[in-house]
Amino acid sequence: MLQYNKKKIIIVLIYLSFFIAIPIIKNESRLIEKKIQYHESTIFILSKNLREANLEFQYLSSPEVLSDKIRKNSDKEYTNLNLSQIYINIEDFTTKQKQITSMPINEQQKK
Amino acid sequence: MNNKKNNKNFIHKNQNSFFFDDFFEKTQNNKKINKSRIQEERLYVLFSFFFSLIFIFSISIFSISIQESNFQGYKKVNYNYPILRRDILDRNGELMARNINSYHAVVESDLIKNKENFILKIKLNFPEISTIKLKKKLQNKKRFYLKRRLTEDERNRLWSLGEKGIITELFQRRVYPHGQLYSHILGQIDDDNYGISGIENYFDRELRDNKKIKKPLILALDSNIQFLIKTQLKKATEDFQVNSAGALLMDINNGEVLSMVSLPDYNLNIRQNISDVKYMNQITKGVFELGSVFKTFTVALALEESVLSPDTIINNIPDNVKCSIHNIGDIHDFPESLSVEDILIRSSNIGSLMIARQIGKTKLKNFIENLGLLEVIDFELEEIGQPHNFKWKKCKLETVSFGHGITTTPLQAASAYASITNGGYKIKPTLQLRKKFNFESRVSIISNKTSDQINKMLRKVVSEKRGTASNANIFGYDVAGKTGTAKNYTNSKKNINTFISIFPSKQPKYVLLVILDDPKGAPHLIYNYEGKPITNISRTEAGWNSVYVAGKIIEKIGPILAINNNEVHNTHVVKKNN
Repeated sequence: MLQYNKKKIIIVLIYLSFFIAIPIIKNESRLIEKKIQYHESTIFILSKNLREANLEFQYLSSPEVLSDKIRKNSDKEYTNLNLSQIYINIEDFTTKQKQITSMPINEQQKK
Repeated sequence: MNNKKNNKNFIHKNQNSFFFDDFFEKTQNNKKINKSRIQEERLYVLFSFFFSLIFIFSISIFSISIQESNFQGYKKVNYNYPILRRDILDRNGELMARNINSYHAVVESDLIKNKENFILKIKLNFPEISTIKLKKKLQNKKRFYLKRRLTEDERNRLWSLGEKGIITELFQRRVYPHGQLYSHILGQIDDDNYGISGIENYFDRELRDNKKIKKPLILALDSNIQFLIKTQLKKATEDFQVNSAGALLMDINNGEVLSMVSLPDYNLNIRQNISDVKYMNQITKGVFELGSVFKTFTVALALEESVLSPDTIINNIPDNVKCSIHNIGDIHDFPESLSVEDILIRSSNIGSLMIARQIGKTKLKNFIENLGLLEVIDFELEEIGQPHNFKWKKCKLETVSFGHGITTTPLQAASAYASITNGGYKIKPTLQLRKKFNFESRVSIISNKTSDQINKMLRKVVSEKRGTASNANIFGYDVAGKTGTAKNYTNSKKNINTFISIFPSKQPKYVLLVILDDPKGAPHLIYNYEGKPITNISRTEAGWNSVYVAGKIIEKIGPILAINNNEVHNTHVVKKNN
């Protein structure tokens, strides 16, 4: 009889715990849903802004626009340099210069 | 008797026995029990009533809790951003095409009270809209488009009018951030987001595929290189006063097209009807007689078939050859004896003709067909030209040997050059970025040995004094190539000048084709001819225009392509990690 009552009590307790837990979970999930919705809206706005900013960036940084801007706004006149005029470091530069200047000296020595 | 009566009266009707019992107490107890039973039954009824209520409520709560809330579903619809078409990116991830939200301005005639005032407002803000047409529409139509594809500024101006009869209708439009740069490649879409030309048309289904909508379509093109080539080509159109021009840069080993420029071009963001033929894609749609660039194929086949070697001397080369009604000759005087190599370097028509005669018609025909020069090429654009059909009758062998009487598209010619110079493997040009390329699956057309020999000969066309392309001998890039000056088959007074270059020739990586339609002399230009600056040159052969332009292009794009060149390796060129 006592065992039978115990079972009953356990069932009732489980039932009650579910009965209490369901609205709590439901309420919590609703709050989470609200947060999700808030984050979703934030993500949506951010991604929309990012998409537009990216498009703007792509346009503004396109080679045509950049070269046009440089041409309009820069006072500097860019000229082409031959590869032989580009030096990796100062040592490279001095060795190359020595090579150039040493030629007439050698020629004088030869004479 | 009375006692009996009394006795009888004494016995209570509920008394069951004669045993002594506390009758009164028992009766009271029984009454209590009876009462409590009634109460207990009532309690049970009440309990079952409340229990069933709770049960019903709990079931309803449970069923509500397991249902998906409307709240989320409603919001989902609100935050949906339905992109109707995928982005298109270049090989470096630069945006080439994207869908954005835009608006049409719609007028609901019934909602406009003061129509004259409305027309006046529109006239002031949008003078380009015809007042007469607007008046007619307001009278005859209930709903009509006032202006399609509004800009942000136009939309604001419409809002500021404060007319409730103007409604902005949302639609998606395609934006091309590079404007004119890819006009012949990307193509356009219609108002319903369907591709109508170019890549937009060819990949229409893929671009509208909902499953892949967030993944961009990546092309093999490079925006920086495309811009540099376009800039040089545009300068060339001014310098040489050409009607139209084209350039193509392709990876020699896997066929990826890095750049394809065709001039004149148009802005993809502005809708306009273009009917002039010169606006066609010169590289894929243009079918031309390319002239001397075909000599390379003749020589390559002669070497492959071991008919001749590069050093074989061909003696007694005449000045003219009469073939049927044609009188074939060279534009310059050449020695009577020339080696096979010299014939290619100096670009001798008669020499090529004599080589072709030694090869034979069938072999040359098969070789040209194998190179895919006569078929309609399989390429990712709808705008593809069809080479003209012809029969290999009398004199065809002779004229085809130096590129006359045979037409093809510049794209096919460049692909054939790539196939001959990459070790002899046939390649298929593509606009799509190839993540993995199976080099083993390539089909061989000529041997590695022949390919090497051709590369060396083409290098000499550029590097040697007797060559026709010394204006493209750019230091450090080991340029090789072949020029072609031919008459335009639609107008024999006009020239089509072509230069197909390969660089670096020791380990070929890229093929660059430059084609100019009827270039004029450019005496104002300073050419760097054999290391000396010369000017006042009015010559119109390819060596003085197409070659010059190709040289300028290679000079510009070389550092970006980071060619691992022996001459400048680790000295001047900073290697770019690809």
